[in-house]
Amino acid sequence: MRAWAKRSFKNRIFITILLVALLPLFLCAVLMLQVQIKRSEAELIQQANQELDSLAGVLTETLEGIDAITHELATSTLVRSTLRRGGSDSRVLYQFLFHTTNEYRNAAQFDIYDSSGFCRYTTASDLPDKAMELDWGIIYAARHDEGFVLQENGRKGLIGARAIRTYDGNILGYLVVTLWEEGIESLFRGRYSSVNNVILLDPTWRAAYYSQSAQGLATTGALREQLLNGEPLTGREGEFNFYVREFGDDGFTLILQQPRTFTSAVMRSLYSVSAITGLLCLILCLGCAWVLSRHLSKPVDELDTAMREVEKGNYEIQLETSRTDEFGRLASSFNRMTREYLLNLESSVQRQKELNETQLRMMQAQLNPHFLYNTLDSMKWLGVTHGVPQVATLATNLATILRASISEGEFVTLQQELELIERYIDIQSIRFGDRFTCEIDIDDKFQSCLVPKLVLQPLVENAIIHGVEGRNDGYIKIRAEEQDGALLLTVSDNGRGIPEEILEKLNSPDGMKPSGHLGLYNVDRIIRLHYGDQYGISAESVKGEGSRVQLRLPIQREEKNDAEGTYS
Amino acid sequence: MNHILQGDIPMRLILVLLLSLALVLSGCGGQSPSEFSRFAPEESQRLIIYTSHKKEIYEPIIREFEQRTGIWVEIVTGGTTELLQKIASGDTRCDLLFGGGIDSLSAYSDLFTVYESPELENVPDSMRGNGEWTPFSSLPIVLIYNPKLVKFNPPEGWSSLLDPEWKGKIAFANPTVSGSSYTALVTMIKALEREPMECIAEFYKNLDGKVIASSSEVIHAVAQGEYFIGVTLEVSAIEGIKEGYDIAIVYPEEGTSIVPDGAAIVKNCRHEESARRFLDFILSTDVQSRLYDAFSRRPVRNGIYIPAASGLKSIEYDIEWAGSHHADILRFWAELGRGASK
Repeated sequence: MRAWAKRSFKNRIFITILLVALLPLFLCAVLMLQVQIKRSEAELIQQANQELDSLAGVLTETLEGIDAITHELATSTLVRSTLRRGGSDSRVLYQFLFHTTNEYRNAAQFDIYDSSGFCRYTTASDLPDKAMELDWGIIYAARHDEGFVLQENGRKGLIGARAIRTYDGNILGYLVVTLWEEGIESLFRGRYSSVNNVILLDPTWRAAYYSQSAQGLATTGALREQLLNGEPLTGREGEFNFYVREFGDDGFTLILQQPRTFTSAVMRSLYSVSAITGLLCLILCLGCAWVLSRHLSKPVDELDTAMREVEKGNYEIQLETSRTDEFGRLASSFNRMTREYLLNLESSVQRQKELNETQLRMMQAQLNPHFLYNTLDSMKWLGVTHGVPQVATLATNLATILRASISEGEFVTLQQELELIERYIDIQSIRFGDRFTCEIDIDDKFQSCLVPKLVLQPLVENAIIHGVEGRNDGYIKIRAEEQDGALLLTVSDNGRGIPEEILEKLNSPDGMKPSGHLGLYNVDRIIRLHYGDQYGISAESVKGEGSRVQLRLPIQREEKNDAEGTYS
Repeated sequence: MNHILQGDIPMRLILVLLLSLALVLSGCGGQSPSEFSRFAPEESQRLIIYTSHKKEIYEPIIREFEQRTGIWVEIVTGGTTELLQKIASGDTRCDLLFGGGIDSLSAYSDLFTVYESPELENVPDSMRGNGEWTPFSSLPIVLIYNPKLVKFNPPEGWSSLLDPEWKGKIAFANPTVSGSSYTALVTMIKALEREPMECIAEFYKNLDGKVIASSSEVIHAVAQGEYFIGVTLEVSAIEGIKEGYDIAIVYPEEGTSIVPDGAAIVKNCRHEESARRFLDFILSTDVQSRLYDAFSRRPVRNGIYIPAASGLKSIEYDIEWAGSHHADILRFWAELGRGASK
């Protein structure tokens, strides 16, 4: 999952959108549910406690009333004397009994037993025949207690008793009060909600009464076991809340059994509805988050892919986009950038190719220079030994020019270039005699300027051939000047001039290849290739009066390296 | 480091949110147990009783005990042997075992602690034991017969069981299952003063291969006329008569063993004081005087009036002998069973 999220920011956007959309929803739903449940539970608890208050109240009140009545009866002289006499049919006692117990006879039955356990008087319709056991149950308890004792009556309600004693403590009989189930039911009626159940327990949590007899016994058994085992009180089966209330002094306990509103079935359906809603939201969210993250990441992905293509060398890739936002602008910038890069690359390759071609041609023009050089050396010595100094001079000068032309390095200083020109003129002077003069007018400050090797020589040759041929007063001038930061080298002559069509070609900005004048053309190409199209050759000519050919070069000076610095 | 954090944050966030959610969800439990624990009794007011008695016997006694003492009794029911084995296998819940013949209790006397109840001075010496168990009621073994089928010459005693006249007509529960049947077997040997194995073999032969699976079926089998006479506990017989079964009781003329059942406190139990109070209670006059009327049992306490049983003669039952020969006799019985089926 984490690796998946890291792989692409699309996935991160996706997850973030999901979280932001779903979590608040989910939390909100759960919290609402919980608040609802808590509120409802609080209400139920309050209701149960109110009911318990009411139930315990009426029961306590009744038992206290019965306690008081039994006290009144047991201490009355009438009851005592009647029992002592042993009669069982005293009208007066019956009147007193009915009168005293009038308030509670709906709920309870009052009996008077004699000391041997036989019933003498009762508020019920018939006298029970069977004697009460004296050493067991309620009579035993009453005999061992000064006051009123209360016990559960075999799960059929409550039974209470008080011993009737003489003034010196001898037992005369027992006053027994029985609260049958019906009696308790009539006390409780209307004091608790019909969905609830009431359980009355004795001090050891044995059932005395339960309002729902069908499950009462099992439920009380389960509750007692749970209490003794320290478990929460959940009853036997079904989902109920139990509320426990102790009342009175006898340790009896009332329990209210209340069905749960949020039973596990209700909770299950609540949770499943929430889960289904959540699932729908999840699906919706998934869809939206997916579309949105795709929308955001698609152009970036494309750009990423295109970039990788470019890295591999495919410069022809172009992004297609119809978008006008940041991604659209980014895509068109990318397209422009690759296009321009491609053009640059093409022109650079072309230039390199042309330079190579030109150099190749120049090399071809330099026919076996070493052989020529050696020959010239031989000629020089022949000239010296045979006493023909002109031959020696010719050979020496030619050899110098030849050496310069085959030497390494494409650039020489103007001074070196002019030295070669002087040699060349020396040669041509011997050839042409005194038919021309040459003047070099170059300021010292230009001497150190760097120029391509042998760029002036073709110009001078041209001037001699076209300017001096057929005349005796040929004049050639070589000048240098600076104009707009560029070095202008001019070779002018007073010869017959350059034919119109050649002049045109020389001055054309493209520098078309001329059929003759290969030397001038080459000079032009070399300058242009080295320095760019704003540099090159230009010429002007007046027919019969002379011509002027000009080289335009950038001013570059030899860089002084350490070695030269040391020797100069 | 930085990118690890970036990767971690959403995960941590999710974790924190899920945890808080779990907390919210767990808040919806019911009432806490502590809310009710104040109603629960103190340890000193508790007692856990394992009993093999029937509900009609244990419930009124325990209810009365609870009402008199305020002690909360928890009851676990089961067969005597089952409960004994449960305690023997390390069940520490039980405080007191209520029920079971004292021969069974004696066999497991290691499990029980000695308690000499002050009420024991009202109990005859023969019923007292040595304190590991406390007697509850005495249970003579008797013969029963179906008065419709047997009119003129009812069985008179143990010797009748060997009489060929009754061959195949005696209802006798399997002593390997029923404790009282084993007691009856030992009593017969003692009463007739016979060599044990010989006597058993003869008796088995007189059963004609018919042995009843459990002691509770003896009454029914005789009353229904499947068998003419039977061997059972007096209490079962009286209860059977009360339930309307047409049977008659014969107290063997040679005398019969009166083996009490009892109760015993488990060693190192948690509520020993409550258990002692319960033993005192079951020996009290109030309980003992109810035994015969309410539960058809003979009290072990002296001075309790019960209707005289004509002809009930007690002979001494040697618990030690019965215990030491238990395995031998039952093995012999099983062999007889296998031999008969061949």
